[in-house]
Amino acid sequence: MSQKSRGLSYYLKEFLKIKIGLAGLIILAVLLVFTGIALTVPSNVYNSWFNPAVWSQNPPDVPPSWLSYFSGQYFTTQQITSSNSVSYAGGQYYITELNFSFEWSKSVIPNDVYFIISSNSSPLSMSLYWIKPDGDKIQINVPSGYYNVPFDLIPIKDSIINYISSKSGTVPEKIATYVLVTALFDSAKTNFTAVENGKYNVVVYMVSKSPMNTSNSKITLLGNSYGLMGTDYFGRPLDLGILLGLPNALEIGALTAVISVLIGIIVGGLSGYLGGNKDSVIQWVTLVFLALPALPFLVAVSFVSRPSIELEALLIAFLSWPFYAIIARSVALSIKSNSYVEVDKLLGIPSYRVFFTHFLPRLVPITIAYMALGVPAGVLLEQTLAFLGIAPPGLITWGGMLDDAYTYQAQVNGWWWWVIFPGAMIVIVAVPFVLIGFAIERLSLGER
Amino acid sequence: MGFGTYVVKKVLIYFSVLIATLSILYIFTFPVIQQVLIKNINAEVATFQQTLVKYSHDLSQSQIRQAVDQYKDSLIAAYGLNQPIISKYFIQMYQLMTFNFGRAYFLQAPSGSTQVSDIIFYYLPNTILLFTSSTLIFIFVGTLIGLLSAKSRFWEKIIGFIAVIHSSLPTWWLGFLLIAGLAYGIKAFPPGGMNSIPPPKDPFSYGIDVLYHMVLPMLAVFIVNVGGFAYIVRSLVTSTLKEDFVVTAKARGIPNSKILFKHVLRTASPSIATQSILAVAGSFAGGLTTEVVFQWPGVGLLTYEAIFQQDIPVILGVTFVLTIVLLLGLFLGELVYGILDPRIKVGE
Repeated sequence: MSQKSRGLSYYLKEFLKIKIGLAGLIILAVLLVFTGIALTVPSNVYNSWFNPAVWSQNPPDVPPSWLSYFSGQYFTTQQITSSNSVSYAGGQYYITELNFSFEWSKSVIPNDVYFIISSNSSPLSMSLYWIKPDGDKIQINVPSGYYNVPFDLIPIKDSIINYISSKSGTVPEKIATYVLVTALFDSAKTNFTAVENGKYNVVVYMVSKSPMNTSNSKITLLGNSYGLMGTDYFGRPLDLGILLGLPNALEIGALTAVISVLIGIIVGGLSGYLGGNKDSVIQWVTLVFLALPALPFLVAVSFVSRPSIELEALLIAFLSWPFYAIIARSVALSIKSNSYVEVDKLLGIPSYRVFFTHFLPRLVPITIAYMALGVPAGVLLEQTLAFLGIAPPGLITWGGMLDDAYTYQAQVNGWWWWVIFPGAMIVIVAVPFVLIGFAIERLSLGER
Repeated sequence: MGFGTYVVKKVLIYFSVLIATLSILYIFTFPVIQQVLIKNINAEVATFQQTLVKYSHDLSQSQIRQAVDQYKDSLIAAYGLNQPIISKYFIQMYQLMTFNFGRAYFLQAPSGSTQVSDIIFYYLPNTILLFTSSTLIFIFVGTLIGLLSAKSRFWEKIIGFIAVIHSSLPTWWLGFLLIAGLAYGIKAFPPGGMNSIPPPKDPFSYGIDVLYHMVLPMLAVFIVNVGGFAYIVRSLVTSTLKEDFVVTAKARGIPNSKILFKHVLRTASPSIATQSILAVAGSFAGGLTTEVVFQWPGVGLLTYEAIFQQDIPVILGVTFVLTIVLLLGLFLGELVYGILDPRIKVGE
């Protein structure tokens, strides 16, 4: 190693020359931008993640919507609002007519259809007509109590089954949402085997005693794909969960790395610097903590105490500092064998000054390198704990999403998006820190 | 210092470390351990009362109550619940070190025993089987790659890449992908478990069946860990390469590969052996989630079940056992180092 000055700017310049370090920095910057976006998400959206009812109008278990660029089989959820609503008074009653219309050109049917008929006063009666492109008209009686609440095809299944039996003469054996959607979208002439393409009309008539405001009414055709990353079993969009899981992953990684490396470097540095009996004692303490198996220990302690994310970071740091202490000790030993340290001692310079002038500055680069390398360890441990089902309560984690994927057998059912994206994010968060750490390590220890 | 003194010294150190580690665990889980003990005592007292009522018809109600109370008091004293905190600590630490973790709340061993230690020791061999064999494979390949990287630029680049994988890829997630791709996608391997159902009868095909089920988890462990081990070996080898005797050997014109595999490997082998034993001992504890994904019936899957059913004694028991296993590994590593390193053996 050359003896020229090694200031911060020197390191920065040299660091930027290393390609992997630069790549790591760029990925990290992108991640930080997304963290900023995630932090602007309001807390009620964050908390709604744990309330499956919120997501009932999303299609469950569907792949990402960009698949539609590769295959016409995929389409996303459509929302259709009424094109016009006509209200007319007849005697003391008011009749409101709502018209919805949409084009259907796919060769597959939607996963489900949701209606929401919103009004400021409850109507006396409501009837709904589903008119297919070939003119087939299905009359649907909506049971009372479904005003202002979204409902899918299950509450109105009787009307649809009547329609099926009137057309085909048989009643379907199994009544599932799929069968009901088929009746609405497949042509009756082909005995409900081929999709009818063209313009569909839905007309809703409501009778009421006062004029109605129906501006929020809409029909939702549930797609067989959703968003950037698909949805899970509850219809939750995975892209949202992945975005919201980013800040806590970075937080726990950064916290554990900073705390554990600082403790490790100070303890290990002192151990190597002091030597003798003090060194043996510190080494014994290091060994004690090294012998604690991190994962089972964390499982036991966080299961019984359910720590917050900050406490969890402290716990992980508590278990991982010995690794850094061992490294710091060996570095300190090699610094100690240098002649300038011995000269200082002979000159009678106080030992604390020797420690600050010779040891600490030389420990700084490896400190930063291992801080970067320590981040992935923290992230992986947190996500592993979450996968085992012991994440801090109320926290969206990728490990938790993968635990759900495991519970609902995503890998068996071929829901690859539910497995790939959260796991890939763990890797994507870890990689830039590994790259930066390797780059600094190479810089400070020198290439051999 | 001879080898005997070395061993005695290490035994003393590791015994003190064992006590210290278990004490840390004990302190962190102290309130829960007390809860578990009270629950266990109540359960034992209830069974005692039942047998008493069933078989001793000549006892009056008050006599039975007295006997039950006496039994309960004796149990409380045995577990040290009524003792001051210091004696409580010693009594309960003794229980933990003799693998007496009490009874599980819900889980039980296939033999029907609800003793936590019976449950754990039924599943532990499966964990040891899977992780020892997969760790040995990545140790072998990792050592080879680490040695090769000392003389070839190509392998050094590879090491950099696989070391990144090692620090950023969770084994259990890779397991997920392997199962989705190789087990459900192309159906080449079973998706999980340890045996086919029903398991084959004769021992040979039983062994083959277990091996067949081990392929995917071994592959996952291998891919994730081989880079990390190769990295360790590389740094051991490079530091050895700077030693004087290597320079001398080069000067004498001994071919590079011979220097590498004879001189360097021999010198680095004590450290490599120690690292290997550490890797094996550490893999049992680190593989908890890998077992879950592959449905491998080891302590990891047991822990997952215990978390799911809130079976605290089992979770605590697994942690204590794995701590002892890891410490045992560390100790073995030191011993092997002492045996292999000639400087210690001759008592320098």
